[in-house]
Amino acid sequence: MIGETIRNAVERSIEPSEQSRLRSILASTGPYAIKFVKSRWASAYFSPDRLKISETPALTWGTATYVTPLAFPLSSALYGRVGLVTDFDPSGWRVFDATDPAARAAYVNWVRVQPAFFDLVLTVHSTYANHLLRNKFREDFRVDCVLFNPDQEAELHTDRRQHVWMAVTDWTPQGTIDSSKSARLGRARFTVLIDEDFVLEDQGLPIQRAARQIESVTQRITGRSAIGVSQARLDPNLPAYVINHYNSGEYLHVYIEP
Amino acid sequence: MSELLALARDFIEKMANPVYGYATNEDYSARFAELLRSEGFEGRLREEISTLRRPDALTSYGWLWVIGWAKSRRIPLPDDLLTELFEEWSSVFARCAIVDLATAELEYEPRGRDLSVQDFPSPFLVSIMTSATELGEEIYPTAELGRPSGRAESVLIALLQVGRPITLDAASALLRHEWRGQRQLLEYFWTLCNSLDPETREVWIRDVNPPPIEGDRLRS
Repeated sequence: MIGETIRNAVERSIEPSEQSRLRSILASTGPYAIKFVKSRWASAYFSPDRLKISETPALTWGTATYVTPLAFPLSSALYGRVGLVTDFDPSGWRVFDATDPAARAAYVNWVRVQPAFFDLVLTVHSTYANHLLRNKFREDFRVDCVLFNPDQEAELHTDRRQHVWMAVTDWTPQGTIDSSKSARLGRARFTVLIDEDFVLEDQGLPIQRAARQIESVTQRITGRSAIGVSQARLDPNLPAYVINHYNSGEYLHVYIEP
Repeated sequence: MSELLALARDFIEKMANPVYGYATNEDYSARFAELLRSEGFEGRLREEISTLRRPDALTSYGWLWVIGWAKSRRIPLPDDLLTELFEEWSSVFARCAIVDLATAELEYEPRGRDLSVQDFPSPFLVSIMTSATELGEEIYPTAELGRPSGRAESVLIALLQVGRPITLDAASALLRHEWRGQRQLLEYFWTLCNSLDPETREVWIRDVNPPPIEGDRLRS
Protein backbone atom coordinates (compact mmCIF):
# COMPACT_ATOMS: atom_id res chain seq x y z
CA MET A 1 0.00 0.00 0.00
CA ILE A 2 2.59 2.57 -1.10
CA GLY A 3 2.80 5.02 -3.96
CA GLU A 4 5.05 4.60 -6.97
CA THR A 5 7.43 7.41 -6.00
CA ILE A 6 8.20 5.88 -2.61
CA ARG A 7 8.43 2.38 -4.09
CA ASN A 8 10.76 3.54 -6.87
CA ALA A 9 13.03 5.37 -4.43
CA VAL A 10 13.47 2.13 -2.46
CA GLU A 11 14.04 0.09 -5.61
CA ARG A 12 16.71 2.57 -6.74
CA SER A 13 18.50 1.95 -3.42
CA ILE A 14 18.63 -1.79 -4.01
CA GLU A 15 21.35 -2.98 -6.35
CA PRO A 16 22.57 -6.34 -7.55
CA SER A 17 25.60 -7.24 -5.43
CA GLU A 18 27.81 -7.11 -8.52
CA GLN A 19 27.05 -3.40 -8.90
CA SER A 20 26.72 -2.51 -5.23
CA ARG A 21 29.08 -1.16 -2.62
CA LEU A 22 29.50 -4.74 -1.39
CA ARG A 23 31.54 -5.53 -4.49
CA SER A 24 34.10 -2.81 -3.74
CA ILE A 25 34.25 -3.80 -0.06
CA LEU A 26 34.99 -7.41 -0.99
CA ALA A 27 37.43 -6.49 -3.77
CA SER A 28 40.56 -6.58 -1.62
CA THR A 29 39.74 -9.62 0.51
CA GLY A 30 37.34 -11.77 -1.47
CA PRO A 31 33.92 -12.87 -0.21
CA TYR A 32 34.77 -13.63 3.41
CA ALA A 33 32.99 -12.45 6.55
CA ILE A 34 33.67 -12.67 10.26
CA LYS A 35 31.38 -12.89 13.27
CA PHE A 36 32.64 -12.66 16.83
CA VAL A 37 30.86 -14.87 19.37
CA LYS A 38 31.21 -15.85 23.01
CA SER A 39 33.92 -18.37 23.90
CA ARG A 40 31.36 -21.10 24.67
CA TRP A 41 30.72 -21.44 20.91
CA ALA A 42 34.36 -22.15 20.02
CA SER A 43 33.97 -25.93 20.03
CA ALA A 44 30.74 -25.80 18.00
CA TYR A 45 32.71 -24.22 15.17
CA PHE A 46 35.81 -26.41 15.31
CA SER A 47 34.48 -27.76 12.02
CA PRO A 48 32.67 -25.56 9.49
CA ASP A 49 29.01 -25.01 10.36
CA ARG A 50 26.18 -22.61 9.65
CA LEU A 51 26.00 -19.35 11.60
CA LYS A 52 22.91 -18.82 13.76
CA ILE A 53 20.49 -16.27 12.35
CA SER A 54 19.90 -13.52 14.93
CA GLU A 55 16.29 -12.85 15.82
CA THR A 56 16.66 -10.57 18.82
CA PRO A 57 14.18 -7.69 18.47
CA ALA A 58 16.80 -5.12 19.43
CA LEU A 59 18.97 -5.69 16.34
CA THR A 60 19.43 -2.96 13.76
CA TRP A 61 17.86 -4.48 10.65
CA GLY A 62 15.62 -7.25 11.94
CA THR A 63 16.00 -11.01 11.74
CA ALA A 64 19.25 -11.71 9.84
CA THR A 65 22.77 -13.03 10.16
CA TYR A 66 24.95 -10.13 11.24
CA VAL A 67 28.54 -10.34 9.99
CA THR A 68 31.40 -8.04 9.08
CA PRO A 69 33.22 -8.16 5.74
CA LEU A 70 36.80 -9.25 6.32
CA ALA A 71 37.97 -5.83 5.14
CA PHE A 72 37.13 -4.78 8.73
CA PRO A 73 38.44 -7.85 10.56
CA LEU A 74 38.26 -6.65 14.19
CA SER A 75 35.37 -4.22 13.81
CA SER A 76 32.81 -6.39 15.62
CA ALA A 77 35.15 -7.78 18.28
CA LEU A 78 32.98 -6.37 21.03
CA TYR A 79 30.61 -9.33 20.66
CA GLY A 80 33.06 -12.02 21.76
CA ARG A 81 36.61 -13.34 21.76
CA VAL A 82 36.10 -16.00 19.12
CA GLY A 83 36.04 -14.89 15.49
CA LEU A 84 34.17 -17.25 13.16
CA VAL A 85 35.13 -16.78 9.53
CA THR A 86 33.08 -18.00 6.60
CA ASP A 87 33.20 -17.60 2.87
CA PHE A 88 30.00 -16.82 1.00
CA ASP A 89 28.67 -16.33 -2.49
CA PRO A 90 26.86 -13.00 -2.95
CA SER A 91 26.06 -13.62 -6.62
CA GLY A 92 22.66 -12.28 -7.48
CA TRP A 93 21.98 -10.80 -4.04
CA ARG A 94 19.79 -7.72 -3.84
CA VAL A 95 21.77 -5.31 -1.67
CA PHE A 96 20.22 -2.38 0.19
CA ASP A 97 22.98 0.06 1.08
CA ALA A 98 21.84 1.79 4.26
CA THR A 99 25.18 3.56 4.53
CA ASP A 100 23.86 5.81 1.73
CA PRO A 101 21.76 8.71 3.10
CA ALA A 102 19.43 8.49 0.07
CA ALA A 103 18.71 4.83 0.87
CA ARG A 104 18.06 5.65 4.52
CA ALA A 105 15.68 8.41 3.43
CA ALA A 106 13.90 5.94 1.13
CA TYR A 107 13.42 3.57 4.07
CA VAL A 108 12.17 6.32 6.38
CA ASN A 109 9.70 7.50 3.73
CA TRP A 110 8.48 3.92 3.37
CA VAL A 111 7.99 3.66 7.15
CA ARG A 112 6.07 6.95 7.25
CA VAL A 113 3.32 5.60 5.00
CA GLN A 114 2.89 2.32 6.85
CA PRO A 115 -0.60 2.01 8.38
CA ALA A 116 0.95 1.42 11.80
CA PHE A 117 3.27 4.43 11.63
CA PHE A 118 1.28 6.41 14.20
CA ASP A 119 1.55 3.48 16.63
CA LEU A 120 5.28 3.30 15.99
CA VAL A 121 5.85 6.87 17.12
CA LEU A 122 3.06 7.23 19.68
CA THR A 123 3.25 4.02 21.74
CA VAL A 124 5.77 2.22 23.96
CA HIS A 125 6.15 -0.71 21.59
CA SER A 126 8.84 0.76 19.35
CA THR A 127 11.49 -1.99 19.73
CA TYR A 128 9.26 -4.79 18.49
CA ALA A 129 7.54 -2.41 16.04
CA ASN A 130 10.82 -1.52 14.34
CA HIS A 131 11.82 -5.17 14.26
CA LEU A 132 8.59 -6.10 12.52
CA LEU A 133 8.74 -3.18 10.07
CA ARG A 134 12.35 -3.89 9.09
CA ASN A 135 11.49 -7.52 8.45
CA LYS A 136 8.47 -6.48 6.39
CA PHE A 137 10.56 -4.02 4.40
CA ARG A 138 13.17 -6.66 3.62
CA GLU A 139 10.52 -9.22 2.72
CA ASP A 140 8.48 -6.85 0.56
CA PHE A 141 11.55 -5.76 -1.42
CA ARG A 142 13.34 -9.13 -1.34
CA VAL A 143 16.46 -7.62 0.24
CA ASP A 144 19.18 -10.26 0.55
CA CYS A 145 21.70 -8.06 2.31
CA VAL A 146 21.64 -4.73 4.11
CA LEU A 147 24.89 -2.80 4.40
CA PHE A 148 24.99 -0.45 7.37
CA ASN A 149 27.38 1.49 9.54
CA PRO A 150 27.57 -0.10 12.99
CA ASP A 151 25.64 1.60 15.75
CA GLN A 152 27.77 0.03 18.46
CA GLU A 153 31.53 0.27 18.54
CA ALA A 154 34.46 -1.28 20.32
CA GLU A 155 36.99 1.32 21.35
CA LEU A 156 39.81 1.56 18.78
CA HIS A 157 38.49 -1.50 16.92
CA THR A 158 35.39 -0.04 15.28
CA ASP A 159 35.10 3.11 13.21
CA ARG A 160 31.37 3.75 13.11
CA ARG A 161 31.60 6.17 10.20
CA GLN A 162 33.90 4.12 7.98
CA HIS A 163 33.20 0.49 8.78
CA VAL A 164 30.39 -1.41 7.11
CA TRP A 165 28.58 -4.42 8.54
CA MET A 166 26.17 -6.76 6.80
CA ALA A 167 22.75 -8.15 7.71
CA VAL A 168 22.25 -11.16 5.45
CA THR A 169 18.80 -12.68 4.81
CA ASP A 170 18.07 -16.38 4.49
CA TRP A 171 14.68 -17.18 2.98
CA THR A 172 12.22 -19.94 3.81
CA PRO A 173 10.65 -21.85 0.89
CA GLN A 174 7.56 -19.62 1.30
CA GLY A 175 9.64 -16.47 0.78
CA THR A 176 9.60 -15.31 4.40
CA ILE A 177 12.69 -14.55 6.46
CA ASP A 178 14.22 -17.64 8.00
CA SER A 179 15.34 -17.56 11.63
CA SER A 180 17.12 -20.89 12.03
CA LYS A 181 20.70 -21.26 10.75
CA SER A 182 22.17 -19.52 7.76
CA ALA A 183 22.78 -21.52 4.61
CA ARG A 184 24.30 -18.44 2.99
CA LEU A 185 26.90 -18.11 5.72
CA GLY A 186 27.18 -21.80 6.18
CA ARG A 187 30.89 -22.65 6.42
CA ALA A 188 31.89 -20.72 9.52
CA ARG A 189 34.94 -21.95 11.38
CA PHE A 190 36.84 -20.84 14.50
CA THR A 191 39.56 -18.70 12.92
CA VAL A 192 40.42 -15.73 15.15
CA LEU A 193 41.06 -15.53 18.88
CA ILE A 194 41.31 -12.06 20.35
CA ASP A 195 42.74 -11.14 23.76
CA GLU A 196 40.12 -8.58 24.71
CA ASP A 197 36.72 -8.34 26.32
CA PHE A 198 34.11 -5.61 26.02
CA VAL A 199 30.99 -4.85 28.02
CA LEU A 200 27.96 -4.85 25.71
CA GLU A 201 25.30 -3.44 27.97
CA ASP A 202 24.83 -0.99 30.75
CA GLN A 203 21.84 -1.92 32.95
CA GLY A 204 20.22 -3.78 30.06
CA LEU A 205 20.68 -1.01 27.49
CA PRO A 206 23.15 -1.46 24.61
CA ILE A 207 26.40 0.43 25.03
CA GLN A 208 27.21 2.67 22.08
CA ARG A 209 30.98 2.73 22.62
CA ALA A 210 32.42 -0.21 24.53
CA ALA A 211 35.75 0.42 26.25
CA ARG A 212 38.62 -2.05 26.12
CA GLN A 213 38.70 -3.79 29.49
CA ILE A 214 42.16 -5.40 29.30
CA GLU A 215 44.39 -3.49 26.92
CA SER A 216 43.47 -0.19 28.54
CA VAL A 217 45.16 -1.52 31.70
CA THR A 218 48.06 -3.48 30.21
CA GLN A 219 49.21 -0.53 28.12
CA ARG A 220 49.73 1.44 31.33
CA ILE A 221 52.04 -1.19 32.85
CA THR A 222 55.59 -0.90 31.62
CA GLY A 223 57.00 -4.25 32.67
CA ARG A 224 55.46 -7.28 31.00
CA SER A 225 56.31 -10.75 29.85
CA ALA A 226 54.49 -13.62 28.28
CA ILE A 227 54.42 -17.38 28.66
CA GLY A 228 52.49 -20.04 26.76
CA VAL A 229 49.74 -21.58 28.84
CA SER A 230 50.82 -25.20 28.24
CA GLN A 231 54.34 -24.36 29.42
CA ALA A 232 52.96 -22.35 32.37
CA ARG A 233 50.81 -25.23 33.58
CA LEU A 234 53.87 -27.46 33.97
CA ASP A 235 56.35 -24.85 35.18
CA PRO A 236 57.22 -25.45 38.87
CA ASN A 237 58.63 -21.92 39.02
CA LEU A 238 55.36 -20.29 38.00
CA PRO A 239 54.41 -19.20 41.56
CA ALA A 240 57.76 -17.49 42.01
CA TYR A 241 57.48 -16.00 38.55
CA VAL A 242 54.05 -14.51 39.33
CA ILE A 243 55.20 -13.18 42.70
CA ASN A 244 58.16 -11.59 40.95
CA HIS A 245 55.85 -9.76 38.58
CA TYR A 246 53.65 -8.68 41.48
CA ASN A 247 56.53 -7.30 43.50
CA SER A 248 58.02 -5.44 40.55
CA GLY A 249 54.70 -3.95 39.39
CA GLU A 250 54.73 -5.87 36.13
CA TYR A 251 52.23 -8.25 34.62
CA LEU A 252 52.45 -11.73 33.13
CA HIS A 253 50.49 -12.61 30.05
CA VAL A 254 49.62 -16.32 30.00
CA TYR A 255 48.54 -16.89 26.44
CA ILE A 256 47.20 -19.76 24.38
CA GLU A 257 49.98 -20.70 21.99
CA PRO A 258 49.19 -20.43 18.30
CA MET B 1 2.52 -28.48 30.49
CA SER B 2 4.99 -31.14 29.38
CA GLU B 3 8.62 -31.14 30.47
CA LEU B 4 9.68 -30.41 26.93
CA LEU B 5 7.42 -27.39 26.65
CA ALA B 6 8.50 -26.13 30.06
CA LEU B 7 12.12 -26.35 28.93
CA ALA B 8 11.31 -24.66 25.64
CA ARG B 9 9.36 -21.94 27.42
CA ASP B 10 12.38 -21.02 29.52
CA PHE B 11 14.65 -20.90 26.48
CA ILE B 12 12.15 -18.98 24.36
CA GLU B 13 11.67 -16.38 27.07
CA LYS B 14 15.41 -15.84 27.47
CA MET B 15 15.98 -15.55 23.72
CA ALA B 16 12.97 -13.40 22.88
CA ASN B 17 12.49 -11.00 25.78
CA PRO B 18 14.70 -7.90 25.35
CA VAL B 19 14.70 -7.34 29.09
CA TYR B 20 17.42 -10.03 29.32
CA GLY B 21 19.66 -8.01 27.02
CA TYR B 22 21.25 -8.69 23.65
CA ALA B 23 23.95 -11.07 24.89
CA THR B 24 21.51 -13.35 26.72
CA ASN B 25 19.01 -13.24 23.84
CA GLU B 26 21.70 -14.24 21.35
CA ASP B 27 23.20 -16.90 23.59
CA TYR B 28 19.87 -18.63 24.25
CA SER B 29 18.86 -18.28 20.62
CA ALA B 30 22.00 -20.15 19.55
CA ARG B 31 21.52 -22.77 22.28
CA PHE B 32 17.90 -23.26 21.25
CA ALA B 33 18.97 -23.68 17.63
CA GLU B 34 21.26 -26.50 18.77
CA LEU B 35 18.35 -28.09 20.65
CA LEU B 36 16.19 -27.86 17.54
CA ARG B 37 18.86 -29.76 15.64
CA SER B 38 18.94 -32.55 18.19
CA GLU B 39 17.19 -35.82 17.43
CA GLY B 40 13.43 -35.44 17.27
CA PHE B 41 13.26 -32.21 19.28
CA GLU B 42 11.78 -30.00 16.57
CA GLY B 43 9.08 -32.53 15.71
CA ARG B 44 8.08 -32.91 19.35
CA LEU B 45 8.08 -29.14 19.83
CA ARG B 46 5.83 -28.68 16.79
CA GLU B 47 3.39 -31.17 18.28
CA GLU B 48 3.46 -29.53 21.69
CA ILE B 49 2.97 -26.04 20.28
CA SER B 50 0.02 -27.15 18.20
CA THR B 51 -1.66 -28.34 21.42
CA LEU B 52 -1.34 -24.99 23.21
CA ARG B 53 -4.74 -23.51 24.07
CA ARG B 54 -4.16 -21.05 26.90
CA PRO B 55 -2.76 -17.54 26.40
CA ASP B 56 -1.00 -17.74 29.76
CA ALA B 57 1.09 -20.71 28.61
CA LEU B 58 3.77 -18.23 27.50
CA THR B 59 4.61 -14.58 28.06
CA SER B 60 3.90 -12.07 25.28
CA TYR B 61 7.50 -12.21 24.03
CA GLY B 62 7.36 -15.99 24.11
CA TRP B 63 4.19 -15.95 22.07
CA LEU B 64 5.65 -13.49 19.57
CA TRP B 65 8.54 -15.85 18.99
CA VAL B 66 6.21 -18.86 18.68
CA ILE B 67 3.99 -16.97 16.24
CA GLY B 68 6.97 -16.08 14.05
CA TRP B 69 8.32 -19.62 14.22
CA ALA B 70 4.91 -21.14 13.51
CA LYS B 71 4.59 -18.93 10.45
CA SER B 72 8.02 -19.88 9.11
CA ARG B 73 7.26 -23.60 9.71
CA ARG B 74 3.64 -23.36 8.52
CA ILE B 75 2.32 -24.64 11.85
CA PRO B 76 -1.32 -23.63 12.32
CA LEU B 77 -2.44 -22.35 15.71
CA PRO B 78 -6.13 -22.63 16.65
CA ASP B 79 -8.28 -19.61 15.77
CA ASP B 80 -9.68 -19.52 19.32
CA LEU B 81 -6.22 -19.15 20.79
CA LEU B 82 -5.21 -16.49 18.27
CA THR B 83 -8.42 -14.58 18.98
CA GLU B 84 -7.77 -14.67 22.71
CA LEU B 85 -4.20 -13.45 22.21
CA PHE B 86 -5.42 -10.72 19.87
CA GLU B 87 -7.93 -9.50 22.44
CA GLU B 88 -5.38 -9.63 25.23
CA TRP B 89 -2.61 -7.59 23.60
CA SER B 90 -2.76 -3.86 23.12
CA SER B 91 0.23 -3.54 20.80
CA VAL B 92 -0.88 -3.08 17.21
CA PHE B 93 2.36 -4.68 16.07
CA ALA B 94 1.79 -7.81 18.13
CA ARG B 95 -1.73 -7.88 16.71
CA CYS B 96 -0.25 -7.60 13.21
CA ALA B 97 1.86 -10.69 13.89
CA ILE B 98 -1.27 -12.60 14.92
CA VAL B 99 -3.30 -11.50 11.88
CA ASP B 100 -0.32 -12.32 9.68
CA LEU B 101 -0.11 -15.88 11.04
CA ALA B 102 -3.88 -16.40 11.01
CA THR B 103 -4.16 -15.41 7.34
CA ALA B 104 -0.82 -16.68 5.99
CA GLU B 105 -2.15 -20.02 4.77
CA LEU B 106 -5.73 -19.06 3.95
CA GLU B 107 -6.84 -19.64 0.40
CA TYR B 108 -8.82 -16.61 -0.58
CA GLU B 109 -10.49 -15.65 -3.80
CA PRO B 110 -11.21 -11.90 -3.69
CA ARG B 111 -14.97 -11.54 -4.07
CA GLY B 112 -15.25 -7.82 -4.50
CA ARG B 113 -16.18 -5.45 -1.74
CA ASP B 114 -19.66 -6.70 -0.93
CA LEU B 115 -18.71 -9.00 1.94
CA SER B 116 -20.15 -8.10 5.30
CA VAL B 117 -18.27 -8.54 8.56
CA GLN B 118 -20.52 -11.45 9.56
CA ASP B 119 -20.10 -13.27 6.25
CA PHE B 120 -16.37 -12.84 5.96
CA PRO B 121 -14.71 -16.17 5.02
CA SER B 122 -12.46 -16.44 8.07
CA PRO B 123 -13.82 -17.19 11.54
CA PHE B 124 -10.79 -15.47 13.07
CA LEU B 125 -11.32 -12.23 11.15
CA VAL B 126 -15.07 -12.32 11.84
CA SER B 127 -14.34 -12.76 15.53
CA ILE B 128 -11.91 -9.84 15.90
CA MET B 129 -14.02 -7.48 13.78
CA THR B 130 -17.24 -8.38 15.60
CA SER B 131 -15.63 -8.02 18.99
CA ALA B 132 -14.20 -4.62 18.08
CA THR B 133 -17.56 -3.27 16.98
CA GLU B 134 -19.52 -4.55 19.96
CA LEU B 135 -19.16 -1.81 22.48
CA GLY B 136 -19.81 -4.07 25.47
CA GLU B 137 -20.91 -1.40 27.91
CA GLU B 138 -21.58 -4.11 30.47
CA ILE B 139 -17.89 -5.12 30.33
CA TYR B 140 -16.50 -1.63 29.86
CA PRO B 141 -18.88 0.63 31.80
CA THR B 142 -16.86 3.71 30.85
CA ALA B 143 -17.00 2.98 27.12
CA GLU B 144 -19.41 5.87 26.70
CA LEU B 145 -16.68 8.23 27.86
CA GLY B 146 -14.07 7.06 25.39
CA ARG B 147 -14.02 6.78 21.61
CA PRO B 148 -16.51 4.12 20.55
CA SER B 149 -14.24 3.29 17.63
CA GLY B 150 -11.05 2.88 19.69
CA ARG B 151 -10.89 -0.92 19.56
CA ALA B 152 -11.96 -1.03 15.93
CA GLU B 153 -9.21 1.44 14.97
CA SER B 154 -6.58 -0.96 16.27
CA VAL B 155 -8.14 -3.85 14.32
CA LEU B 156 -8.29 -1.71 11.18
CA ILE B 157 -4.60 -0.84 11.43
CA ALA B 158 -3.59 -4.47 11.91
CA LEU B 159 -5.62 -5.49 8.84
CA LEU B 160 -4.14 -2.70 6.71
CA GLN B 161 -0.59 -3.32 7.93
CA VAL B 162 -0.64 -7.02 7.07
CA GLY B 163 -1.81 -5.91 3.64
CA ARG B 164 -2.91 -9.23 2.11
CA PRO B 165 -5.93 -9.22 -0.24
CA ILE B 166 -7.97 -10.95 2.45
CA THR B 167 -7.04 -8.48 5.18
CA LEU B 168 -7.57 -5.47 2.91
CA ASP B 169 -11.03 -6.78 2.00
CA ALA B 170 -11.65 -7.32 5.72
CA ALA B 171 -10.62 -3.69 6.35
CA SER B 172 -13.11 -2.66 3.68
CA ALA B 173 -15.86 -4.75 5.33
CA LEU B 174 -15.02 -3.27 8.72
CA LEU B 175 -15.29 0.27 7.38
CA ARG B 176 -18.65 -0.53 5.77
CA HIS B 177 -20.04 -2.22 8.85
CA GLU B 178 -22.90 -0.19 10.31
CA TRP B 179 -22.59 0.31 14.05
CA ARG B 180 -22.42 3.17 16.50
CA GLY B 181 -18.72 3.84 15.96
CA GLN B 182 -18.74 3.64 12.16
CA ARG B 183 -18.55 7.35 11.51
CA GLN B 184 -15.63 7.81 13.92
CA LEU B 185 -13.84 4.85 12.39
CA LEU B 186 -14.26 6.31 8.91
CA GLU B 187 -13.01 9.68 10.13
CA TYR B 188 -10.01 7.95 11.65
CA PHE B 189 -9.27 6.19 8.34
CA TRP B 190 -9.50 9.46 6.42
CA THR B 191 -7.31 11.26 8.92
CA LEU B 192 -4.63 8.65 8.31
CA CYS B 193 -5.20 8.80 4.57
CA ASN B 194 -4.84 12.55 4.52
CA SER B 195 -1.48 12.32 6.26
CA LEU B 196 -0.07 10.42 3.25
CA ASP B 197 1.52 11.60 0.04
CA PRO B 198 -1.06 11.85 -2.79
CA GLU B 199 0.10 8.69 -4.59
CA THR B 200 0.03 6.47 -1.52
CA ARG B 201 -3.32 7.97 -0.54
CA GLU B 202 -4.75 6.90 -3.88
CA VAL B 203 -3.38 3.37 -3.42
CA TRP B 204 -5.05 3.13 0.00
CA ILE B 205 -8.37 4.31 -1.41
CA ARG B 206 -8.08 1.92 -4.35
CA ASP B 207 -7.19 -1.06 -2.14
CA VAL B 208 -9.71 -0.41 0.63
CA ASN B 209 -12.49 1.40 -1.23
CA PRO B 210 -13.94 3.05 1.87
CA PRO B 211 -17.59 4.12 1.84
CA PRO B 212 -18.42 7.82 1.77
CA ILE B 213 -19.32 9.56 4.99
CA GLU B 214 -21.94 12.18 5.54
CA GLY B 215 -20.59 15.71 5.12
CA ASP B 216 -17.49 14.22 3.53
CA ARG B 217 -15.00 17.00 4.28
CA LEU B 218 -12.15 14.58 5.06
CA ARG B 219 -12.32 12.78 1.77
CA SER B 220 -11.73 15.90 -0.33
